[in-house]
Formats: sequence, C-alpha cells, structure tokens
Amino acid sequence: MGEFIISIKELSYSYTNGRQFAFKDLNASIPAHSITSILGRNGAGKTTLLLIILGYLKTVHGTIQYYNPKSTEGQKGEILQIAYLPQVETAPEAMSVYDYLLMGRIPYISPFMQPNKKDTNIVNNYAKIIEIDHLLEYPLGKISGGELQRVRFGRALVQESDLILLDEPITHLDLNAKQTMMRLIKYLKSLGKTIIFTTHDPVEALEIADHALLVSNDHKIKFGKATDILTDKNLSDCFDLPIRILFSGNSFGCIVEKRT
Amino acid sequence: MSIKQKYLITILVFFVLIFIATFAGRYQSASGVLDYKSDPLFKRLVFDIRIPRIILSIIVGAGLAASGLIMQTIFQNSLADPGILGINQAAGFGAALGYILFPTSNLPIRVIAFVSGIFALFLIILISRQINVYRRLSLIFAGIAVSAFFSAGLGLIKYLADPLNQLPSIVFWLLGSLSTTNWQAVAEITPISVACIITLFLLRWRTNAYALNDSILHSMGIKRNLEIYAVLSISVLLTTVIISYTGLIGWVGLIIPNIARLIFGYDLRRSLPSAIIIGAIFVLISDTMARTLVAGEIPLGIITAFFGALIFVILMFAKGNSLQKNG
Repeated sequence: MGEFIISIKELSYSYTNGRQFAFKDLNASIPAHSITSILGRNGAGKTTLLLIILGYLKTVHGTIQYYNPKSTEGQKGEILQIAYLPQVETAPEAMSVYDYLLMGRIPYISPFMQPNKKDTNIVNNYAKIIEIDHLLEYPLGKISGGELQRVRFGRALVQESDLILLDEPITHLDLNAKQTMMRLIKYLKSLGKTIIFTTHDPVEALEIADHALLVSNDHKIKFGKATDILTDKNLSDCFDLPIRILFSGNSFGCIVEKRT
Repeated sequence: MSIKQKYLITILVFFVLIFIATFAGRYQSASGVLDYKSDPLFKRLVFDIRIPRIILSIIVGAGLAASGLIMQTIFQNSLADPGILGINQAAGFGAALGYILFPTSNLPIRVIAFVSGIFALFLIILISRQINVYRRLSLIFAGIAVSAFFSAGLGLIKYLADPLNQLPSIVFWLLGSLSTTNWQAVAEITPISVACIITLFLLRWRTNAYALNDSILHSMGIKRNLEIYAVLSISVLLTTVIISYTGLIGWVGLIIPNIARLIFGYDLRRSLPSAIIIGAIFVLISDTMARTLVAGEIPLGIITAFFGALIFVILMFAKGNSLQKNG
C-alpha cells in the first residue's frame, strides 16, 4: 500500500475562527485505489471534512497534499480535479438526464467550446454501464429518487476523476437501491479510483469500505482499517449508545442493545 | 417534430416577417411592391427608415431575450429577468436623469442610463454578498431592493421634472419606442449588442452548469464567482445598451425564454439560439404593429406588454395542461 493519494497532516478546522473546532489535529493517509468511509453522527462535521478534502473550504491549520497515482516515480503530480457529489443538489428539474450527465465533461472543454462526439460517446458509455441509458431523455424532475442518485453518480463518473467524494450517497435509498449503489462504488474502485464517502450507518462502511474515519462529537477522529476502527466499543463511544455489530456469513448487521 | 424542423420553421417565419415588415406601412408605393425602385420616395422610406428600424427591432428582441434567458438559467428562476433584478429601473432612472441634465443631446442620456445599469449590477453583487443565504435567492433579494431604490429615484425625477417640456419626453421614453430609429442609432447600438450576443452564444453550453451547487462547480475547476459575474455583466451590458436607446421594453426578457425552453428544451445549446430568433420575431411583429396599426405611433413597450401578458397566460395554461397529462 505504498501509494497515498491524500495525505492529511495536523489538520484543524474551525467554524468560528479558532474558538471552537470542528475537529483538531487530524492525521490520515488515504491510499490510492481504495474506499474510505467517513462515519459519524449528524452534525459531527462529516460534510465539512469532505469539503476540506475537496478544497472548497480552506483549513485553519494543517496541510492536505494530493498526489496523482498515475504520475511516474519521483514525480508527484497534483490531482487536477476531484469529482464531488453533494448530499442535496440544485440541478434544474427541467434539464434532461443526458444534458446533465454531459456537464461532467466541463473540466475537459474550454469555456467557448461545445462538447464533441468523444464526450457524447463517454456519456453514452457510462450510462449503459450504470444502467441509466433508458432514462437519458427524461427531465431530472421526472425520475425517482433512486434513479436520480444513480444519475448524479453517473455525472461524477463522466467527470473521470481519480478521486471521487460522495456525501451520503447510500443512506436515503431503499434496500435494493442501496445494494445497487454499493455495487457501483465497488465498481469505481475496480476501475482504479479512490473513493471517499460519508455515512452514519456502520453497516454501509463495513460492507464496502477499506478504511474508516470515525468522527466523534468531541472532535477527535480515529482513522485506520475499517474493521479495526468500526468496533463495538468505538461505535458505542461515538454514538453514545450500546452498539453491537453482528455477523452472519458475509453480511453485517448493526444493533442497538436495549438497556433493561 | 425534430429540433431541426423546428429551427427550420422558426427561421422561415423570421425571414417571411422581415419581408412583410419591409413592405408594410402607411405609405404604399403607387407603382407596386416589385417595382419600388421607380418610386424615389418609397425607396428612401424603405432604406432610410424601415430597414434601420427592422434591424434595430431584431437586435432589441434578440438581445433582451438572450439576456433574460441567461439570467433565468443562472438564477434558476423562470421569472428572473433584468426587470426583476432592477437593471431596467436603474437604466430608466439614468436616462431620465440624463434627460434632465442634458435635454438637447442623446449620447449623454444613453451613457448615463448605461452607467446606472452597471451601477445597479454592482449594488446587487455588493448587497447579495452581505446577505449570507443561498446565493441565487440573495441575488433576487438584492435585485428587489435595488429595483425599489431606482424606482423611487425615477419617481422623484418625474415629480421634479418640468411638466410641460421634460415630463412628456421622459414618459414617452419610459414607454419604449423605436420611432426615432435611423442608421446612426443602428451604428451605435448594433456592434456592442452583437458582440455581447455572440459571446453569450459561445458560452452557452458552459452557462448551463452555473445552475449547479457551488461545491460541484468548484470540483469541476470552474472559478464560479468570476465566471458567473462575467456572464451576468455581459447580459447587463447587453440590456442597458438596448434600453438606454429604446426605453423600457418589458416582457421580452421574461416571456421569450419561457417559450424557447418550452419548444426547444432546457439546455442552452438549443434554447439560447432559439430564444434569440423568437425574441427577434416577437419584437419585429410588435414594432411593425406599433407603426402600422393607427395613424400615429403606439409606444412599442405597450404592445410588447399587451402581447407579452397574453402569451404569458396562454403559456401558463399550456404548462398546466401538460403537467396534468404527465402527472
């Protein structure tokens, strides 16, 4: 696991100019071609952390360095662009799925130019892979929530970034759509991408993530292998509940023990 | 019907209308339409009055529609147009002020109207940055405030203006008209308007994306504030250049983009070129009516407002019906 795509050192972030910290002294090295989940309670700062990694929010202290896994030895190229999927999106309802997906090509096309045949081929190709090619002509406002999530995922895919950040991509979906989305995230990894996603469900993290960043409300962050971090004790501390992870074959379950 | 066929029909209608507008008017050549060269008065009428006016009405319609569509897309609000943002009111205030200060010359009036419109844009950006809410909404809030501010200023100028000499001119200008068009006006308005329209046209695909979340734009490497304000400034420049000459011509920037989207779809790659042509058609028809319907001249702004409101209602009915069918 020699290659790190992101190396975070001594990172602190504050909403209030240093008086109150969202998190403090975070150190993490996220390897290339892996899935990392950011886990924590609502309001713990998961989205904030994701936006800092994106470079959208500026840090107070500490550094984040990005390395391009494709660059050759000794040549640490910076990642040019990172695909990002926010939790809620303001995409226009009247826009067609196809036109929406095509916007993923913006980083590759100069402002005064239009997308060409190559770009439309890329869109059609990915649409087939993630099985949304039957939706292309529909406006965004007329497809279901699960379909919309897959379409938004498709836009990030079309962007062809090495690093993909997903903010709660799975949580709000039905059981079937959840499995589809988890399969798609694993598919991204098989393409050699690095994925970081947020969730507050330990099961999602255990199912697909290689690494986990556990954000507690006391602003301390634990980072490591998912199976090492997402233990009964750590999760119980984080959520302030007696939590147990159950195993059944290859599947996980997460239960909260009733205090009797 | 395919997109290509729709374009073909629209362009065909456009050229037929140019032909009709050229030969429609109260003065009819005694020797007939085809033999117009033998009638020197008719020839002068067509080449010195009607053709510059037709060119200008095409520019006005195309420019106002393009500007309105760009603003509606960026603010994701199909009612947003230079009127909502207060740009029109600011330009109106500037022109009235210019008329009071320089009653005899045209150029300072236009310059002041334009400067006032750009000043309104700066105010909007300045205020909306201080309102720490959702970006698109804060721009609309700022627009409403700026609009009210300049309306008050305009009201004050009208109140203070000389009711015999100055007020009628201000009121007539505010109603909007192309009746004083000549080649000089065409030469003043056309180059900068066409340059703005071409720039917006070239940027049309990328402009779609400005409706997305800031964080997504950031992830795509778009310098969002810089680009959005640049595109907005071009739209404002386009609008103020036009209305500082023509006066307040309402509803074009509001109605035409909605029609274009309804027929040609949401994406600016298709809706922007179609809005430009449909806008030109709309103002060309309106202005031809303005100069031919009655013996005098009906202010253009009145006609665009009348038909604009009519089309708006029809559009709402059509939208309502299609919603019922699909949902």
